[in-house]
Amino acid sequence: MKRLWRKLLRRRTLHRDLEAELAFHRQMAQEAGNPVPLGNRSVIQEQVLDVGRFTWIENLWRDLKFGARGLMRSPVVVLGALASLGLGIGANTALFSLASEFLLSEPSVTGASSLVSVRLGGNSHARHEVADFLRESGVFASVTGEQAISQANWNNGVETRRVNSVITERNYFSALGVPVAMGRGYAETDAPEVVVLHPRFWRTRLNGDPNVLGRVLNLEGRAYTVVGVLRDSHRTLMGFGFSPDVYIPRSREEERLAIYARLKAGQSAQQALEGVRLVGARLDAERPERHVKYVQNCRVSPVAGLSRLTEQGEAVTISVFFAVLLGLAALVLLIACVNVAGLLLARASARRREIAIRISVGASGARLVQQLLAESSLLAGLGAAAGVLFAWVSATLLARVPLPLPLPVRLVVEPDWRVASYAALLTVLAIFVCGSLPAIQILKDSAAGDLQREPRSGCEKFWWRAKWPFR
Amino acid sequence: MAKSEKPSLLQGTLDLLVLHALRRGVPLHGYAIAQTIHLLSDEVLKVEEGSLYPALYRLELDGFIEGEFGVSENNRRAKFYAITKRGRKALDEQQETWERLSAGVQRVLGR
Repeated sequence: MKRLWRKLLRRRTLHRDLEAELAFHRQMAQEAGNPVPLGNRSVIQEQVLDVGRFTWIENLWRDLKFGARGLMRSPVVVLGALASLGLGIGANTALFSLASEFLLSEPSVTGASSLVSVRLGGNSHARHEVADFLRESGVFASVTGEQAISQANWNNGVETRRVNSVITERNYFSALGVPVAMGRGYAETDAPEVVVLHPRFWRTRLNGDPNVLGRVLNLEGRAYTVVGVLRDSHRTLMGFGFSPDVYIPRSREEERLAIYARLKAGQSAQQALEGVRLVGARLDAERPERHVKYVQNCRVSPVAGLSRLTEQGEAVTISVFFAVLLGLAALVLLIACVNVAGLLLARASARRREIAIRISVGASGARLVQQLLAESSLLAGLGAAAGVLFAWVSATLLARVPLPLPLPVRLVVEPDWRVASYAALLTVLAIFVCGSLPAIQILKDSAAGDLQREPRSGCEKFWWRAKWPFR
Repeated sequence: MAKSEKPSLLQGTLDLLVLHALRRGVPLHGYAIAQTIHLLSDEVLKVEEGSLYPALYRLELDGFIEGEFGVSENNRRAKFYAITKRGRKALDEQQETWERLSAGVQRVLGR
């Protein structure tokens, strides 16, 4: 690698330096009266430049240029290949981006890795006293809670509609650090009637009102003031594309909440679980009349990343579902690749003479394969570009399709590094699948050494033309 | 040409000789390297430009020596080569290989 760098850096000055050096050498020899045999200067220079030349990259560049020219001459092949590869890579990337969004996305909070979901007594939701108790116990850095699946009546002045609301503890935004696009999240110091909007609600129901901050919404017959709007890329704690309309602070005492807490620095989920058990035991002591004990079935599980998936049983089913879909999409790509390989194969047979000439003037097999692979990588690169574009459009459209679910689920589809690297991987695979078949065929043919394998009789000629109309 | 009188350099030994000439750490230009080898071999070995400069450039690319332009003893611009740490390591290795090889050849010829 270092060597390559040196070559790259020195390339420009090499020629000039060398000339100066050789001139100096000769002069010194002459002055010392040394009869240095005056060899051919340019031969020496050529020899040195050969050392400094990077054949590999220069060849690659030449191949790409040549391939581009050849491909431009057969636009039908190129369009066919681009369509197949674009569709194949696109479908795969689109599915992958949906799957990765569905399964691997992180909620929009600061420091998602230190955030855990807490369960006591095997219940996913608990009364707010439990959260308060946990907070006061000091086991966690901060504790908050939400009732994610809830509905509120919103009167817009004309009619009353049901909106999906998330009811939260009042410290929700400060404890989680949820980023907002406009305004701010509400805090403990705010009046009880404040609301933070999801951008989609703001856009579709309030027509993207630019002066929405401070506007009053009539929710459940009470006047809520808008204090903030979340970001377009907002992902909820629940994940799986769940997308509510509004966030409001808890007003009813008896509301049951899912508890979320932030680990202290250096605290592991296991250590936190010990603390939670102690808290559960104390709660049980305080309320001996309760049938289900808090101390039983306590759980502290991460909200982000793969660890979330392993904690939640239903995730396995969903993962398998996506794995099957991805497998099917991979088959589509494979078929597309074989298709393109067929096209290239046809072109390759039409190029027998060219290849034969190349071999006869001394091109090695490896060199020929390199040339053909360069061509197919050109195709696959273009196909990948088309595919990623297609993927992005289709995934966005797919994500918009309302799912027949009782919950509002809308995935935020954004191109990210995971999707990009998946597309790149597919492209490399496509290059090899598409390119190696024709390459092998050509090498096999060329071994026979047929410089003049042109059709002879008139009839044969006719079929030849019919078979390769693009020659 | 009286080529047969002077033994031509064995393939691969030139790198070893160049590194050896630079071993003391004093940067030398190409001509001085050729002279050093010439003199140290009691004027038996003669390094020609045609093989010297490709070797120098190759060694530089491999990071065994480093070249830098400077002013020669007669006030002219010249490229001075100095051995690097990697070069010293390579020198040790190549020297050992050479010694084993030449000892082997000696043994064969001595019988």
